Amino acid sequence: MCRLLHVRSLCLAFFFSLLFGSAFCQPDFSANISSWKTLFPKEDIIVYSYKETVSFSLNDVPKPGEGNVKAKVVNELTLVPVKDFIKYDDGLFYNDQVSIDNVKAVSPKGKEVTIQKLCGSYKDEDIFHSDSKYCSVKFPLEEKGKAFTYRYEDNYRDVKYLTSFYFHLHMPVVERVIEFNIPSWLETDLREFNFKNSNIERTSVKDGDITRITFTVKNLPSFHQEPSSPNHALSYPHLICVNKAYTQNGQRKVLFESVKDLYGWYSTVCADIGNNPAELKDRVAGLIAGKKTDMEKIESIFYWVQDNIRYIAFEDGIMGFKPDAAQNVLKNKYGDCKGKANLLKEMLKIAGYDARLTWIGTSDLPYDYSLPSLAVDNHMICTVILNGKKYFLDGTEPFIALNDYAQRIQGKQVLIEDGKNYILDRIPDFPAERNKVKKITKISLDNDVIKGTTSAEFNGESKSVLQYVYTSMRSEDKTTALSDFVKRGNNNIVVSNVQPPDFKERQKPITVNYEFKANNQVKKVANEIYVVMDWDKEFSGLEFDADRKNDYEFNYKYNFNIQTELAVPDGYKVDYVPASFKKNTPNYSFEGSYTNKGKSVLYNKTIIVNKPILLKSEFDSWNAFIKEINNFYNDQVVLVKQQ
Amino acid sequence: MRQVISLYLLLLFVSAGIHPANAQVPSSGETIEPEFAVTAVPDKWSKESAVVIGQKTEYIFTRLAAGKRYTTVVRIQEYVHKRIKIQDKNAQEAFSTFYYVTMGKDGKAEYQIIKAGGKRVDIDMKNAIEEEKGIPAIYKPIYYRLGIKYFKIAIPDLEVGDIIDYNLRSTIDWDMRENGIGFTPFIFSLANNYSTMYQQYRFVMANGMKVKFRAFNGASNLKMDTKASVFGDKESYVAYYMLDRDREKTTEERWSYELRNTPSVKFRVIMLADNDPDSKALGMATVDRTFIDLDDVYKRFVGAALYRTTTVNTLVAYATEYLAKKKADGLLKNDDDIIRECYYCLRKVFLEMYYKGPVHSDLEKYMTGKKLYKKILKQQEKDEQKKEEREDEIRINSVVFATSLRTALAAQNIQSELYVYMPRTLGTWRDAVFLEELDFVMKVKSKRKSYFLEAFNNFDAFGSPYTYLEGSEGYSIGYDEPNKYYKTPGPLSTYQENISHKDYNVSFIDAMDDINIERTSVLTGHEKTDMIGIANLDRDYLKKDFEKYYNPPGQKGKRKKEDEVIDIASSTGYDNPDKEEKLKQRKELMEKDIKNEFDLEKYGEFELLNDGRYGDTATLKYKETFSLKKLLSRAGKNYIFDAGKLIGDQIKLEEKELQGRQTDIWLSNARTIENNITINVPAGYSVEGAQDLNMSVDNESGSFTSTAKTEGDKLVINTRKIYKKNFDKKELWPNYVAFLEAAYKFSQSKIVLKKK
Repeated sequence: MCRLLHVRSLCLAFFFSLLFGSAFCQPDFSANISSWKTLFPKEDIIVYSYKETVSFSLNDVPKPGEGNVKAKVVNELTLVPVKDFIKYDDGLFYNDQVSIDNVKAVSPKGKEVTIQKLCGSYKDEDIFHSDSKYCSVKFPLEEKGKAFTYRYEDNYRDVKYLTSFYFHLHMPVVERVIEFNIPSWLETDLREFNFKNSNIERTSVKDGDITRITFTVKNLPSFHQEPSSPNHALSYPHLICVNKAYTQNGQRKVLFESVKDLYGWYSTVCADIGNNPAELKDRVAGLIAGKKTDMEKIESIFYWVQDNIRYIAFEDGIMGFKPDAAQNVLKNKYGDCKGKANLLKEMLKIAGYDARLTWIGTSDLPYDYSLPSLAVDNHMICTVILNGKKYFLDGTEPFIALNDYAQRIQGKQVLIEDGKNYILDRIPDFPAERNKVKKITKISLDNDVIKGTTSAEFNGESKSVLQYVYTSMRSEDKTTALSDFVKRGNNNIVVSNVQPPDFKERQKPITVNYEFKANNQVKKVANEIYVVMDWDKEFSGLEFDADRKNDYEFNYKYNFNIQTELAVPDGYKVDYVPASFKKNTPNYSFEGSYTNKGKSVLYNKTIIVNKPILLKSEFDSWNAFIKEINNFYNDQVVLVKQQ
Repeated sequence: MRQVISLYLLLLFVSAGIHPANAQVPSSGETIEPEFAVTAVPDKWSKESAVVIGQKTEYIFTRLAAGKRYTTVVRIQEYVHKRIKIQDKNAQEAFSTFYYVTMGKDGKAEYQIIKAGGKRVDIDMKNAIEEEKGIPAIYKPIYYRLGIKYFKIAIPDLEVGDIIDYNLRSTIDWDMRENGIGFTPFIFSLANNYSTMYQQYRFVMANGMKVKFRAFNGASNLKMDTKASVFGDKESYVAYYMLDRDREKTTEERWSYELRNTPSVKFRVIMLADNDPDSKALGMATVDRTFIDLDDVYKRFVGAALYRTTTVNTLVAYATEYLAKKKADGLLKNDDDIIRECYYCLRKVFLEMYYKGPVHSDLEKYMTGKKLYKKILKQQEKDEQKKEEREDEIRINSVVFATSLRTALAAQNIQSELYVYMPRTLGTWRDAVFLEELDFVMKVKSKRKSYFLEAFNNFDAFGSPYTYLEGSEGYSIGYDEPNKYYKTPGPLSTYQENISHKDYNVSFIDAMDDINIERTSVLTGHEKTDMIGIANLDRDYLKKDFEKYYNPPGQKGKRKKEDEVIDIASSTGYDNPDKEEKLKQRKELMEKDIKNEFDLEKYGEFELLNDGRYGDTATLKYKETFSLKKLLSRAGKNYIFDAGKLIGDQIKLEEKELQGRQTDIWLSNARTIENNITINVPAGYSVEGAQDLNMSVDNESGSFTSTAKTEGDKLVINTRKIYKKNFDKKELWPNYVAFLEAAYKFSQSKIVLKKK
């Protein structure tokens, strides 16, 4: 991901409390513990109540970096430990646009407790430097059932950065409330996402000059990160606060009312990037020299950026939205998505093409540009318009071919710059066929060992994964890494003579040829030989327990096309081959068959997973599908000695 | 890369108002060796990801003066210089960002890239970004005074084929009054993540200092550099260095202790006290290559079993009363009985205080003694990170334990000793250079045997072995007379003591897809370690402890202040408020354990048969039922059963391991893993192919033996895998290959259930 935005709740900030400064005791919740333990098993702390109260104010004399409208979010939380004397341990996030103020915790006896705070730069794996800061917050709780209160404020210097509100925390919440106090001078639209079946109640009350909109939900389980979970924006209920306009001194001023306004702000930010095309000219000339067609020239520039500009992201303040100048990125040989997109644009312009900056929300986000908010996108690419056709160039994809698109941007809406106007378009969406893995294997028996050769062809995402694995390995480890990749972690397979494929030709699939021995796949008993012809058994272990909390996101859409031919040893004949199996559903399918060809047995298998996210509601049918697949997998060929 | 030695590791204080004495003080980083001008790497490393052409770390220790007198402050200058050739994309990525720390006002970094054509490009370090670190408030003044700064910079235009060449300089002022006379010890291997053509470590010390230095496993020794030394009338500066060349990169092998297998060094600079005769007589620095001083060991550790606190008093008072009563009842027949019952009684009181007392975070600190005996505890904090904590584990502080046990046994006229040992991962006793490397447990001798007793947790069985003591070397410190210590070998357990024994009863369900298993596990010695906490998660053992070691309160006489005890209101019962939750959790953890090795369909029941907490050879025993899937596959009308998989995952050696080994073999301990598997053959089927399950590999390092025989409608499979030793020379690696491969092959073996 290319840009961090402050996201409220979930695994992020935490907060609590009731009335601070007052010294009355908190209620004892000991009587509730038993029922809470049933409702929220395995939890140490229950949040009895968590309320966020959002208010807005006009900023008559904005200082640099401030907006005309500011926002404050007061977080009040009542924490009830269900174990004795544990420590509350959590973190608060802030940055240049949002400060955290007035952090306080109060004990059950009404005394303010000392909070251990450790604050510093927040390190994100993908971002080298940003203005994100993180405070680790710790304080001791007391006996179980005794409530602590906790409170803090988020102060937004500019309301445009007030975007997402999530309901879930990483602790269960008995009552969760988000209250917006919207003054009459502000036009705010609260957009709801993933509200279906969430039991969130929305009420609206007019209170003088204020419209109070309240969202309430009870008994929220905690948010748990699990492997292969889709981004929380795709699954968890949340709100996006869209502040459309405000009226000051009788004058209506637009904030983000529509995508036009959002684009307007983006344009303003990008207006003074400070590109100096002269510094790029020589490089561009060198790259397109000798290239005859437009496609060749565009490819040459695109691939050079992929290969030579390292991904190092700077997201410091406005640099979270503004690309670094093209000549800097070229000189440094590093940049983030914005820097790479801008460099591509400038280089392609020099080469004579209509290239444009393009904003996009990756597949991690469920939004399109009908949502005029900074939360709508998180990535930038470059669009080239050639002969009326648009080519989307993602400089952060290290191996992708021109006119091919990574799954994370497929089908997503794009916002393309167009001077004072903008263009909305969509990245093509490809079926699983794009990622096809095609393997042709010939095997024969050498006593109780299977010997064979494989030609494996990788396309699309499967090709990218292979390239990534191979490229990121140390030189001395590459051959081993390639062998490990093709043997898929199976200790019984010994790969030899693996040929490093040609990674340079991006428009073609990658083919890996190798020889192998498969141990422990043959059982000889008297006159019979039992042979396992498929030891990869893709997806055989992918069943979901009832206690999984989140939907499941596949790495990509899968398409496996496997063909294995077993040479029947001399003196033997085929006694038994497993029955064919076929199962088709709209989102995934499996087809497997064994064919007795006399001197050989031909095994064919095709698996397609065409939908990248499996919803929890689909787990049962998926598990049944896997059970059927396993029933097919758990059958094997029998050869018998000819009499 | 291996952690760079850095002043950053030294936490100290600065004294203000002091100035360097007028002397010809050497400065760091003045000499750039010709090795740092090299641009080519040897052919043998030309295909590697990166090569360290040169790296040098230099320290200069000088004394500061105020007026004509020396102060107690030592100024330490650090200079680190590295030159690395980037040879592939992996290295390009790895070095594309540079994180570094500087200390002191003159702390700085210089960075240069030498392009393939020889062009030198200076990186503008003004572009480095200073990072905000989350420093605890109490340390902030120190960080501020020392001028510790964290930086990061993205390296521009770094390409494969480039050479990076950077240096870092830092300075700190070390006040001996506050921080002691010994600077932070360094212990490290000379093997880096990248092959290294040249590396140098250098110290320049003012008179009145010495460096303790030892080299191991072929590492070079420290040499004096007379040319770089400065000899003056009043002040002298003597330079020492250590050179290492042509060092292959680290190779990772299983069962290897880096410091025992690779060339490594230990060093530390020490400021001699003004009254130390060496300090005045020599007037110059010296290298100390002596072994660790036994008197120092004694002085440092003897107090660990002499630290009386109210907690200790409470533990001892209860145990003394209890033992007296049991003695009077004739239940304690010999020293072994007394030592054992004393140990368990002390634990009972500890657990009672912990679980039934006014549990409180402060009390927890008090109970586990974290405010006691600071120096030893500081070391323990490091060690505790190595000792993995078990589920639901509560461990008494070792100083509280040592003092309590020694005092309680002394009251029974049994003398205890403190066993101070060198952990095996670091070396033998002769390899010990610094007191910080040592650790201790209690040792008590009866007529029958010596017991090595670690500070107990809630699960330890009396006299059971501890992996970290295995094969250690150390000294015993006695308390019956002053200055008594003598060399003592640590305990070494055998494979007969550390046994995992599992009985399986396997039956097939009618649909012939899953199998049902009833399994009884019996674990002794180290084999209990991973499971004992989980198996006892219900805390039922507390009831047993509280009942068994209950002693009606005696008369409460008035005690002297130093003998004060905590009123623990002892009682026999224990009602675990979280029992239901703990039972559920235990089942989940057991289920998880099975899932780690098998395709579990359903976990059934768990029953604890023996908690493994009492007696010299206490066995942990429990019974489980569960069903597994994917072990059966069809083949026409017959079934193939992966019977071998029931012995659990076996080590599969990688291809390079099959070819040989470069380093000696260090296992944690000897052990035996046994499986007795009874397969109830389903009606209408016969077993074929079981003869393949008979294997036998036995050598001096280990063995794997298996038998399979049909008994009526049952197939009985017995397997035994033994690791006979905890160490072997690398030359014996083929022995391991032999029995490990046999065990793996067995685990992949199948039988045919043939339709009659």
